[in-house]
Amino acid sequence: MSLTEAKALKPRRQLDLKALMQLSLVALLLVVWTALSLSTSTFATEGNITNLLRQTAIGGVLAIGQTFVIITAGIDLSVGSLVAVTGVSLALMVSHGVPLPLAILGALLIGMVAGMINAFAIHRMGLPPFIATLAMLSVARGSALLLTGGQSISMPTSGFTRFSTTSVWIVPSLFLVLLLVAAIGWVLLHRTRWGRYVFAYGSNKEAARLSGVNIGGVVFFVYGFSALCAAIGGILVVSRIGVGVPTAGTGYELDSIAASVIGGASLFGGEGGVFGTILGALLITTISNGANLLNVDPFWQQIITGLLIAVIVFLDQWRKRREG
Amino acid sequence: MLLELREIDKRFPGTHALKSINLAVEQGSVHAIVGENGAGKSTLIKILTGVYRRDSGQILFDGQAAELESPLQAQKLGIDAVHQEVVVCRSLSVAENLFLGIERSKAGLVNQRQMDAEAQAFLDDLGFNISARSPLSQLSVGQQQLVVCAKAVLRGTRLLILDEPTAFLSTQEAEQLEKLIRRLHVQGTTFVYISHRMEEIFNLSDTVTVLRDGAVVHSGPTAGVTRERLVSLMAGRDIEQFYHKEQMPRGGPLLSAAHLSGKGFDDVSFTVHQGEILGFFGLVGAGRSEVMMSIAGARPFSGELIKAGRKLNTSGVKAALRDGVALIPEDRRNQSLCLSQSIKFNLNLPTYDRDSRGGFVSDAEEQRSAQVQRDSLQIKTPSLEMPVRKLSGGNQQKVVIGKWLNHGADLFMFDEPTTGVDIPTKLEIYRLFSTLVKQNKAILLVSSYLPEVMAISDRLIIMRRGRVVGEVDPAVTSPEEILRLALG
Repeated sequence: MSLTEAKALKPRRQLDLKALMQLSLVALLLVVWTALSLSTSTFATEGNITNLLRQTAIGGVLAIGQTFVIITAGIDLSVGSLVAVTGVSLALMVSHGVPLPLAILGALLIGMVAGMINAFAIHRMGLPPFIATLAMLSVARGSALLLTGGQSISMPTSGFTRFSTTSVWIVPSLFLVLLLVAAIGWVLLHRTRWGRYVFAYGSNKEAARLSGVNIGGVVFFVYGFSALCAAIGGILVVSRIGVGVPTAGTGYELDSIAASVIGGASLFGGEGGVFGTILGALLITTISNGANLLNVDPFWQQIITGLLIAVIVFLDQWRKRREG
Repeated sequence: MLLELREIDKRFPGTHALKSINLAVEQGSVHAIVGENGAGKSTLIKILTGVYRRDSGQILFDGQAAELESPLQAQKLGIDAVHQEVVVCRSLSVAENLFLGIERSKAGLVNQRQMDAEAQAFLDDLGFNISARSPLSQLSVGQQQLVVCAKAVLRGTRLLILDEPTAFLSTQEAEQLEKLIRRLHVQGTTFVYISHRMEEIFNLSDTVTVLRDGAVVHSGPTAGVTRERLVSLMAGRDIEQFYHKEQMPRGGPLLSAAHLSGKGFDDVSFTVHQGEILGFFGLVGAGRSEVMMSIAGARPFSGELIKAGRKLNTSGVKAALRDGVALIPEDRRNQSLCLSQSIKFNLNLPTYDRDSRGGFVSDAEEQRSAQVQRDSLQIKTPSLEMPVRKLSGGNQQKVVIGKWLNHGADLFMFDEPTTGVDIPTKLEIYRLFSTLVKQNKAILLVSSYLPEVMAISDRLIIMRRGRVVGEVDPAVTSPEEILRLALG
């Protein structure tokens, strides 16, 4: 094929299938929302939409961090426990007189340290990400329980706890935090060279290494970012419920993985994105929100989420097989 | 006649791998097959073991037509192969490996004790000093090879194909393997033995066939040929007629390597000049790739590297890249390219460090430099956004070269750059070499294809078993002489 002939060929088929998958996610979301608006009188109300967005916020923040990790073909199982340990640390610091801004900083720092430990275990000690973060899951959860003696630690009511109830028009402040984290995440992932390195690592670690990419740097970057997102989530949880609870965040890691994967991230690495993850998170929350409004047995929600993951990943694999 | 191949033909996109091969293997013989890399040997083995299907021609096994549609079918007929790289389950024991798939079991429950005992008796009978219960990972590579052969024998293999089985073995281990082959030969097993090593061919085989460029150029009793004749049959006299090397004035020395030693090579020294192509020829295991990987900073080594009058800091890949050294590795798919990412991404990967301002990547800059490489290298693709895995082998190679040109290296190390690449693309790659050389860059070319490396290199270094055994001017040296040096 000559160069001119090649240029004339439209790359329609290959690129479109992938864009189609993302578009179909948006379409799916719109279809479900429309269906719910029509079948219930309560879905399309200001109150409910605000609720929906608020519920998506915390899971969404965690999912963004998880997406970075998944793109490197890794996994972070510790994010749920980190939500707890950073939350209780915040509550403990405040109740011991530490000024709020410092306490927030402290909680973020604790999250980052945990992320660095994860990265060290994976890059230096050679532990598989699954194992390293599984260990951290236990350690962090245990630490949260230890620090609090199993009790919840109250936060004094203040602007901080009121924050989670405020909203701008119908958009809750919590969701605005998600949008902020998403914007930063998007820029990092798609507009900086470190984001490029994350994709390179996930796509072919050896090729990345031989092209001069700092492999260790990438690992510390993604696990650090994921833990930071978990810390932000932990802080937001405390703002929402007004107490630091050592059992907070249980199961959050699985939802963050689900949102990332539904949004197009591949567990084999090299694929994923912030926008898709947000859609995934919205879809998951919509299912539980809609199920509530329709008086569907809440236990069905988990089944539906599970089936959704399987179907979407299957379609993605099928698309790849057809192309390749 | 145990095995007969009649007019076997096989094509791949861009290559005519086997050209109407006729081969006859007699029952009870040790039949050696020799030929250069790319001559068609591995394709032939894959057809015999059911991994590939032939395009046309007939296979007769024991006088009966054989279809060989899958490895399982081939094994059922009694055809099995032992490859260069040991294929075993490392975490299982010797006995478990031997009986894999044919376990002695009653109602689904395996009788491990019985299998251990049988395996041990079998191993002892063959004269091996191996315990049936040891995990395979504890054995040396040579011993693992022996186990693989034993496994074939246990299954009643009638035709055992050995593909350069001693390539990664020490001399003693190779001797042990030789003893086993003789023993099995006496017991009636037929062997097809692929090797580059003259000593082995003349020691073991009774018949020898020479493959060259996918065709049989000689087949007959080993006693009827001399070493020299075999070598000349393998080399052929058809050096690439269609490539004309331009004579370039040689510049000053660019890189001097002194006494490089590491895993797989010892005391390697050479100098390459600006505008020069220095070829590296040798067989599998000669150590050339290891030398290149070390210079590129990907492997530790001892010795000195001097570039542009400066002693190089050999601490890693990033340092090597900063010093202007680029490696285009042998295993293009696994070592050079992020297959799922776009062409644009791959072309820019080594430059992000240098070109991003404050960490931010400029889309426009990415697009521009990718476009430059695509145009100058003529990468055939409808779009730069296409994932690299969809490109042909030749175009993938261009992307690899393009990313290094983009980065601005001045020493290019190519490890087998034209394997799996069709002739028109090969020519383009040779033209790229010319372009690089005209820009005063230096090229180290590792190639196992003698006509190519002779036609392109200004000087040629021959390596054997990790050491430099010769440095010649290919314009005035015969291919036979070069092969002789490489084979030893």
